[in-house]
Amino acid sequence: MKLININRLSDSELKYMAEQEGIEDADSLDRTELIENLEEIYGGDASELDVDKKFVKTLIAKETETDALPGVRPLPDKFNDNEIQTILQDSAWAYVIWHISHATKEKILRNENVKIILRVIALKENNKKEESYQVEVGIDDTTWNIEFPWKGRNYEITLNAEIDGVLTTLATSPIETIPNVYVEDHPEILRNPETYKVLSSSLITNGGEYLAVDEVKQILSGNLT
Amino acid sequence: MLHAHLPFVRHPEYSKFIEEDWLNEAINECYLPLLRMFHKLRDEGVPFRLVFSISPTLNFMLRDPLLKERFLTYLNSRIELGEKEVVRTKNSPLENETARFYLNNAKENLNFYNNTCGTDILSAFNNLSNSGHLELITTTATHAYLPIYKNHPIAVNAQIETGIMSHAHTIDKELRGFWLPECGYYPGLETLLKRHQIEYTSVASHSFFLSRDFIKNGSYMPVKTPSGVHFFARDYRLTSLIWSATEGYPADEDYRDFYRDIGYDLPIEYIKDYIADPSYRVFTGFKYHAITGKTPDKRLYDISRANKKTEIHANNFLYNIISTGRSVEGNLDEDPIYTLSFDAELFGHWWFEGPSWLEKVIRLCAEKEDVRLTTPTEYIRSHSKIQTAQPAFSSWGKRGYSEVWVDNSSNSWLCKYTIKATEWMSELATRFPNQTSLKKRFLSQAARECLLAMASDWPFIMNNHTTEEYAKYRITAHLQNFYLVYDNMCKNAVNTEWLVTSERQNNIFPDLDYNIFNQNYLAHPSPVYTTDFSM
Repeated sequence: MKLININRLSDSELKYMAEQEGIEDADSLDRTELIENLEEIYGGDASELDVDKKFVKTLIAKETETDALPGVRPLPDKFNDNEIQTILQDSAWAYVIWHISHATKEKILRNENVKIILRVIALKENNKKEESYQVEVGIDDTTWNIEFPWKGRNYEITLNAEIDGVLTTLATSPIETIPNVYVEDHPEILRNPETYKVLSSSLITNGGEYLAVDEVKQILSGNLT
Repeated sequence: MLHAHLPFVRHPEYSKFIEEDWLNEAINECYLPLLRMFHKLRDEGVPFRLVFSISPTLNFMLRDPLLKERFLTYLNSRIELGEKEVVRTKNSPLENETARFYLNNAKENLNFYNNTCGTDILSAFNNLSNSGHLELITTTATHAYLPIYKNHPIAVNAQIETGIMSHAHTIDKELRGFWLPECGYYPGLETLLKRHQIEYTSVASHSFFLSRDFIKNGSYMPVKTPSGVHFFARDYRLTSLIWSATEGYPADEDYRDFYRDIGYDLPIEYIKDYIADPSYRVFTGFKYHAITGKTPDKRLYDISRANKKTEIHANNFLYNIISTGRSVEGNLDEDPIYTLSFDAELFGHWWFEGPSWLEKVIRLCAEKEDVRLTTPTEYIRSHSKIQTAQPAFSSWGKRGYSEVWVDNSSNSWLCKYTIKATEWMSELATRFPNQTSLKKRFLSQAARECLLAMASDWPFIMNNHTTEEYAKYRITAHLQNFYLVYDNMCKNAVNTEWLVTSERQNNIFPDLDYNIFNQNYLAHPSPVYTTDFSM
């Protein structure tokens, strides 16, 4: 973060700031040195951050052997239906899970030339198909990471069997929306130093470290004032 | 905002269970010290207002008779060990002072727990809430990370509604805010919050910056969505003063080191009576070294030195708040509000001096004219012009989204099972609505197991590789339990032996009605929440 109007601060304010920032012998520094030191701190390199400092990270468990309750069975490897689900991992990637029922699998495997295809479809506002790309996966695969490459679109993913070049859709995912980011679409906003300060100052540590979110880093570092 | 949460861990099938000490440690090291500090400040007339979130699993465990009894056993054993430690350390003044501190702390905790709380910790929270010092809120039933279930609104609603029910049955004042586990938010979630009359929640720092809308005041003011729910974005810079592993106050060399503990340093013969299993070394809470630096040669912890540091750090925190205000002065519509949210368990357990630091921050805020502690409710009531905007998908987890809970390695495999469980629970509730007697109990236990399997704690632990085996065991057990009900109900059968055992073991949310998972449930208005103290 950058402090505005640092030159307007009084000597005693600067000394107090220097003490708070851990500058040694702040009392003995003159005004120019104080400002230089403070500017260096605000612009300096930051150390690695760990925001996952959680209670559970410090806990101890013994891994006691605990019996299952009467009648329970191991979890099934697969589920017997045709389904595809998406879980957004971040603003561009989804973790995709699907199942193909035993009957469907048996039926499609009767053919020799079979491919399982995930089709990623970008939809227009009225949910009409606009652009798409495909990923070929294995018959026994059940998960994949899929990118939604364009912002401001809705997406659906279809699970398909391609038999002799003919695509048959087995299941369709729920629609996922990847919205636009205003400050990315309007970079001029951040070229205004005052706006940049308001929008960015809570996202950068005293040591100058950006919040560890790729998009935030990219947008802010591309618009440094 | 302090958020207190622990996963549901309760093992009546064992006389002692190490993982139950998670709760005992948190009560002894965090919740009781914080409550004692809040009560002291109130008694002295120091004005303050904080939001305190209590998760439904923690809420239940704090009231569970078995776990309460086990906590008292744990606390008494800390006192007994403390007395031994005072004798053992008598020739080492610094260690002796620390041992006496631990002993006194445990005794004061016991006194507060018995006499002020009447062995009911929630009553002490209610007391502070009724006097206006704490605003109590809650979160999802089992701390489910909601973005995973975005496409399953019935399951998301079941988590939210069960959490709110649990709160309403135990907390006197009306609920206004809702903590999103791990600050996990996705656009659209607010419609389910609004359904339950929630007025505000908190989101991660970048949720505003990456919005599709231009949020002109950054995170220095809240926004409200068109549905009317208010969002407060956490201030990353200010909270990093505490969270940062290297820059943060808790990493100061004079503060107590967490890892050096007599549970590992002293002969097992000496500590065996104070740990759950003599064959397995664990932390005892008796620690005598300072962080010192990145060296194995730790110097002895000096309480008075650490205490002075909390004062310096409290002053520094206020300084940073004021200097931030100065840096954005004139560029905001109104004076800034800083959303500072932390896990409550940071204070006292991991950061031993945390409660003392927080007390000093509260006292400083009371003295200063230009800084004031407030709550989102108070802010909303006094500010009519709040920008309407849509926050972006986000969490406070690593890299800002969901990859801690869906990490492509240790925990992603769970998703297919937990999602399927929510779908099948919804199917069961829709196929077999309004059952009575044994089938109702059977289906409600399935709903309980489904909610427990959705907890964010287990994938988080697996991602961190800490107590991974226990996490795997727990989530697998809940899923297996759920699938047992599904298999049985598909055959129109009830496994009564399993039901009785499971109800005794996983007894959380005793009034849970499985119909909450019915596919048509969201077409009906939300329930009216009443107080009856049974949940």
